[in-house]
Amino acid sequence: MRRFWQRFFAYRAGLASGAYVIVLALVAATTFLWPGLDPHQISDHAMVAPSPGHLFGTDELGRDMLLGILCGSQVSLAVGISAAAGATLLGVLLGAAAGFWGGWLDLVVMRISEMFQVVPSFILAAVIVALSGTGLTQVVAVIVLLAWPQIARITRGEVMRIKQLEFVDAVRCLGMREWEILATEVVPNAIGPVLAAGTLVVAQAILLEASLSFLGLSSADIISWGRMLNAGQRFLFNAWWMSVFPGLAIFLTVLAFNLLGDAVGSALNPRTVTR
Amino acid sequence: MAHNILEIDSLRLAYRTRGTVAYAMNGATLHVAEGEAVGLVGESGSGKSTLARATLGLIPAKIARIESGRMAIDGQDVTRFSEDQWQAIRGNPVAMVFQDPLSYLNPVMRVGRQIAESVRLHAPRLPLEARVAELLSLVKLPAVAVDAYPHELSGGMRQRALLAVALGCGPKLLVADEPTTALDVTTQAEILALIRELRERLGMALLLISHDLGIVASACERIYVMYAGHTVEWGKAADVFGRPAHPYTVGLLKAARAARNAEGRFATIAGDPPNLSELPPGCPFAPRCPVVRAECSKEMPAPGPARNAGAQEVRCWAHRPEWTRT
Repeated sequence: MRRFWQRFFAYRAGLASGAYVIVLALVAATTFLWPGLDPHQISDHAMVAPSPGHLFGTDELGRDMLLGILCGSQVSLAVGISAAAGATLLGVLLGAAAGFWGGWLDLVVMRISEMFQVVPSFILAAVIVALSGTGLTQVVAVIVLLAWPQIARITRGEVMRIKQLEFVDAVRCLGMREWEILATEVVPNAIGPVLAAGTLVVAQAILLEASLSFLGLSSADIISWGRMLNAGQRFLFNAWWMSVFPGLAIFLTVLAFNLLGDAVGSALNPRTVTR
Repeated sequence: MAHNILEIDSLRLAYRTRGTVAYAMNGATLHVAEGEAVGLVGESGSGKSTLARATLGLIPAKIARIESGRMAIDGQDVTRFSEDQWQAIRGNPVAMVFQDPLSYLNPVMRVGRQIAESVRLHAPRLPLEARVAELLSLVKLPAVAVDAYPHELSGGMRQRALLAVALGCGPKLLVADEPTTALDVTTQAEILALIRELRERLGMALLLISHDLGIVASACERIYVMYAGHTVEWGKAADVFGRPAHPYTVGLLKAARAARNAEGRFATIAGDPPNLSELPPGCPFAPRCPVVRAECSKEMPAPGPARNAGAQEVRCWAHRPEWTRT
C-alpha cells in the first residue's frame, strides 16, 4: 500500500486532482451542517454581479451562487460515485466471468453489452428518466445501466489476456479452484485499467447527470449544477456568472476525475517506475 | 521394490485442431518410484513438455485427448480424471516448477503471499508466516524476499521463489520442466545443487525434464530418452549415458560431447525430427537412423533389453533377438 501512495504522489496531476476531489467531498459532506446558510434563501439582491458580499454573484431570485455551487457538489458527487461504483461492480462481475469461462456466457454478456453500446446513450438516458421520474435513484440506475458495458469489456479483455499467462497454470498446479483463481489471481492483475476506467465513469456520470438536469430532467427541489446552468442560460447576456460558475464547477470536477483515473491507473501498476 | 509415485504406460495423446491430428505422445512409458530422481531428455517437440503437463492434468481437454494407455499417480488411475478430480490432487502429491519463473509468478502479488497461497491450500493448519519463512530459508532466499514483487528479483531468485511455492504444497513428486533453461550457467548450477539438496532433505521424488544432457546426468538416477512421443530408451543414468543403446541416444550423446566426425565437423543427427501430425509408420527415428533396416518402417518394436550395452531397456529393432537373422 505504501508503494501505491508513493507512485500516486509521484504523479503531480494525480496529486492535484486527488486534493481537489477530497476538498469537494468534504464540502459536499458538510454543507448541511452550516447553520443559517440556506442556498434556497431568496433575497432582494437579484442578479448581483460577483462582489465581496456574493463572491460568485446571485441568480434571478437573489440566491447566492457560491452557496448553490457548494451544495450542488453533493448531487454531482453522490450521483457520480454511486453510479461509477455500481457500474464497476456489475461490469467487473460480468466481464470477468465472461472472459474467464468464455463460451455461451461470453456470447450472451457481450451481446447484451453491445445492445447498450449501440443505442445513443444520452437519448436513452433522457427517455428512461423522463418516463420513470426524475429522482436521483433513477438517474443513478440509468447511468449504471449505460456505463457497465465499457467496464465489462475492459475487464473481459484483461481477463482473457491474463488467464492464458503461465502463472495461472502455476497456481492451477497448486490445486486452486477455478473461481478462486479468477477472484484472487486473475482479477487483481486486471484491476489497474478497470479502476482507472471506473474513475472515468465518475466523470461521465457527473456529466450525464448535469446534462439531464440542464434539460430539466431533474427534481426542482434539488440544487444541482446542471439545473443552475439551465437557469443561467436564459440570462447568459445579462448575468454571465450564472452560467460560468456552474459550468466551471462541472468542468473542473470532470477534469479532476479524469486525471485521477490516470493517476490511479499508473499507481496500481507495480511496474510504474517512481520518478 | 519401492512404490511408484508416477506410472505412465504406453500413453498415447493426440492434439486435434482444425482437421489435423498431432500425436504428441505415442506410447510414452515412464515410472518414478518414491524418492527417486528421474530424468527425461529429448529435443524440442519430442513430447516431453506435454508429458510434464499431463502429469498435472494441464492438457487442454478441448483439443487434446488421451487415446490409449494409462497414467497413475500415487496408485490412483488418473487417465480419465475430470477437472474437479485433478484439482484435488494438484500440488499434493505432484507439484511442478517451470522453465521461465518470471511468467509463472503472479506479477502483481508479493512473493511471500504467493508462497503463503500454496501453504494455505495444502497445510492450512500450519502457522502461515513461520511456514513461509521456513520455505524461504529452505530455498535459500533472504527473508526480505517476502515483500518483493517477482520483477524485483533476479532470475535465480525467481526460480527459488517458484520452488518455494511448489514445496509449500508438500509434494511427493516434483516435476521440473526445464527448470534451469532460462538461467545463466552459474545460476543453473546453483539451482541444480539446490534441487538435489532439497530432494535429499525432503525425500521427494523428482522428474527432471530437460534437453540438456549434462544437467539430467548430474541430477538423476534413471534416465528416459524421448523421441517423437515415444520413450525409446531408459535405464540407469550410467548405462544410458555410458553405454547408449538406441541409435538416437548415441547420436544425441555424440552431438552433446561436440564430437567431431571424419571431416572435422561437429557431429549432428542428420535430418529433422518428424512432423507429429505425419508420423511414419514404424519407428519414428527410422528416416534418420544410421542402422535402419526394412522392418524399422513397418512396426515399432516392443521394449526389450539392450544388447552390447548396459542394463537398460530400449525400443529398437537393432536390439531385438530377431535382428541377427538377416
